[in-house]
Amino acid sequence: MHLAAIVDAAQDAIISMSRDGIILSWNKSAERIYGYSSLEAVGKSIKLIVPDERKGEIEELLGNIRLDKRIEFYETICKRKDGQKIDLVLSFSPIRNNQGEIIGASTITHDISHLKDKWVQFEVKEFRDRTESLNRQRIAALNLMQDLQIMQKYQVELNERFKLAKESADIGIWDWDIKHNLLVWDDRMLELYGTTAASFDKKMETWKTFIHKEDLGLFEEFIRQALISNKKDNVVYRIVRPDKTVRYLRISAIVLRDSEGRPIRLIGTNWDITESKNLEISLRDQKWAIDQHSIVAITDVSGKITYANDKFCEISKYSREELLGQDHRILNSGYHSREFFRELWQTIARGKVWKGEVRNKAKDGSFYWVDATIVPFLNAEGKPYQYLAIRTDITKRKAAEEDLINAMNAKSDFTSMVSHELRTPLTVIKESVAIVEDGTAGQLNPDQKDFLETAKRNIDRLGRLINAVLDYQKLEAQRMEFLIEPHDINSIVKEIVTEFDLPVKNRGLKLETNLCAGVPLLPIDKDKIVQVLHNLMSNALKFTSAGTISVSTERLGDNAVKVSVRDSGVGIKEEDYEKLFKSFSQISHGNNRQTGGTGLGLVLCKKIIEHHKGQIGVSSEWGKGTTFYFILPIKDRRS
Amino acid sequence: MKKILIIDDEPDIVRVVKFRMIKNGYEVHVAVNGQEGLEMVSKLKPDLVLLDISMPLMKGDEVCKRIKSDPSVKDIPVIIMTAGTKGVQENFIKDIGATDSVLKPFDPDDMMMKIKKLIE
Repeated sequence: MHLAAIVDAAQDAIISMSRDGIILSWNKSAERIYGYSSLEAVGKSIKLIVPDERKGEIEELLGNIRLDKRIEFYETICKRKDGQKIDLVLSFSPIRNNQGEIIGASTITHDISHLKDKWVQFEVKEFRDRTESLNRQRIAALNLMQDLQIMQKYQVELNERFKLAKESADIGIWDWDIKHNLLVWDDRMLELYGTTAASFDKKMETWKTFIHKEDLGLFEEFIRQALISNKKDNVVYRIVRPDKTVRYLRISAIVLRDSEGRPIRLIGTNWDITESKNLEISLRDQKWAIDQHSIVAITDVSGKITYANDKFCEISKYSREELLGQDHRILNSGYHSREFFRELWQTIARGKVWKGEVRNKAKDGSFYWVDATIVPFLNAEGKPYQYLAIRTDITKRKAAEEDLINAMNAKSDFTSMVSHELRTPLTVIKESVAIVEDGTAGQLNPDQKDFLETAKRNIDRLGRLINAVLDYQKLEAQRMEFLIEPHDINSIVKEIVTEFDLPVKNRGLKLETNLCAGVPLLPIDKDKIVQVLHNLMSNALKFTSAGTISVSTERLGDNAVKVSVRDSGVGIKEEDYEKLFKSFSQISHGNNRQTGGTGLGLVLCKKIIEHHKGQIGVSSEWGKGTTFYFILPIKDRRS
Repeated sequence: MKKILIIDDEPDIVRVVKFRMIKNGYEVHVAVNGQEGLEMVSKLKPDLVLLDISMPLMKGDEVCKRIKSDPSVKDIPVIIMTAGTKGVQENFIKDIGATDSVLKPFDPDDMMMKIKKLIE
């Protein structure tokens, strides 16, 4: 009773309770502070004065008591009978029986709210001592208030975040109660880690067992940083699921602290970014591969360089620092026309890919050639926001090409020079032979005349050969001039047929023509087509000893016209078709090799027809005859 | 007798052409370079000029242009003798103002036909 009197007289509320929180005693101050009378309170659960949102807290406190822990100056909020909430500082102590077993707890409530009125009554010395203590308590209370406000703010923020996060798939939420090492994972979180609520023991240590061992340091550092600062930067780490699959997760965290600034909870998200990470890795690998192979640069829409890889620096001889921010035109060699670059810029500005060969100038003034592909990167509106240029060094190839062109020109020059030089002595020989042969210089006997005729024939052959070589050379070096005009192919055929009429009849052959009416005018070089037809007719005549030579024109749909020369001669074996159009590869017809050919006739025909974007071909049956044909387009398709 | 002037630096060509022209009843004169040729054209006023193109110093095309720009001789027909091919010839003849051309090695009949057409 003595003790009870002291307890009743105490200014602080003193309550005792059983192990499971049933109120055993309730002093006068408790009646005053909480508004419940001793009669009302005793026998009830201590939860009577605990607001709903803190019911969990009291369970925890009781749990600690049962573990023989004293709790001092625990700041909390209690609910009075009238519903008003009051800020309190509590101290809990275990109550033991004679055997020393914990049978309950006593709690002393320090009602902070009334302290202010009281301390004015104390004497100075006491006042000073109490002030300090009270101040501490007050500050604690105030801090508690602030913490609560902050926590409420966090709560709103977290709710918002979680709401957002929850909407996206692949986001799990975790909540770690640091003090009690209680780690709560939501269902999605469990799913991400390939585990289940049943097999997850809610310990931080268990979490760490999932982390890829190379990334464990990263993870631990993140947690450490999150506890120290309110760091919101997130990191990416790998986990290894129980089924051994590896996933990439991005983690974020928010720390909640108590009044002393000690972290009490860490809440955050885990976001499965494996797909995008794989994509990122794949892109990174691709970029790496491109960087190994090509000269890569990125410019903004104005042409300012924003990225340059090592190869770019290497070939341009500029350092990266010198290149970045520079206008790409610093590499302009002055080789290309303004139109060239205008076309380039117009193409990429329209969002189209540009390809071409460009000569650039390096820092030291030397030139290099690149094969460039410029790709515009388009924004959501479809407008380019930057240009990626991928280039390959083709300086060597260009040099080789130039050498080849020079060599071809030299060869061409040489050939035409030789041809010209051959003509003068040939002219003299031809004239001399002709003068003697035609009797201008005196009468000849029949043998003399016969031999001179043989000489004349071979002089003509040599003349044709020189012309053919010259033509061939010109076609090869693309120096042959073509005069393309619309012509009626039927009248050209008629001209040739008239020309060959007599020679054909002289050999005892028949000549037929079969012209297709209504063939449109064709864009051709008449002289060249005459040359081709002449050649085909000469061949037909040369290799036909009996029968018919027929020439026909035929319309192939809307686009082309076919001209054929058919003979009833010896024919050509199929394996020889290919040889026909090759230089100096006259095919043999048994032992009787015909004389007079240059071995270039069909080669020239092929080149001439190909220049017209047409086709030339042959079909033949051995012993029955041969058909040579060429097809010419109705529209001028030459580029 | 009609006068033909041959302007060519190749003695062998000159020899065979000259022989044929004489046999065909023409009076033949010869100049062995462009400069001499121009002088003889003015002095001689030939009925026709046979002009070689590839000559040292003054080329045949230059000689032809000068003849055609001199009012006193511009109407004299000029046949050029060239080693070029047929395709380039037509444009070339037009450019230098020549009357006709023969391609080396020339065909005697073709050449005589062209000459006769121009001066008979």
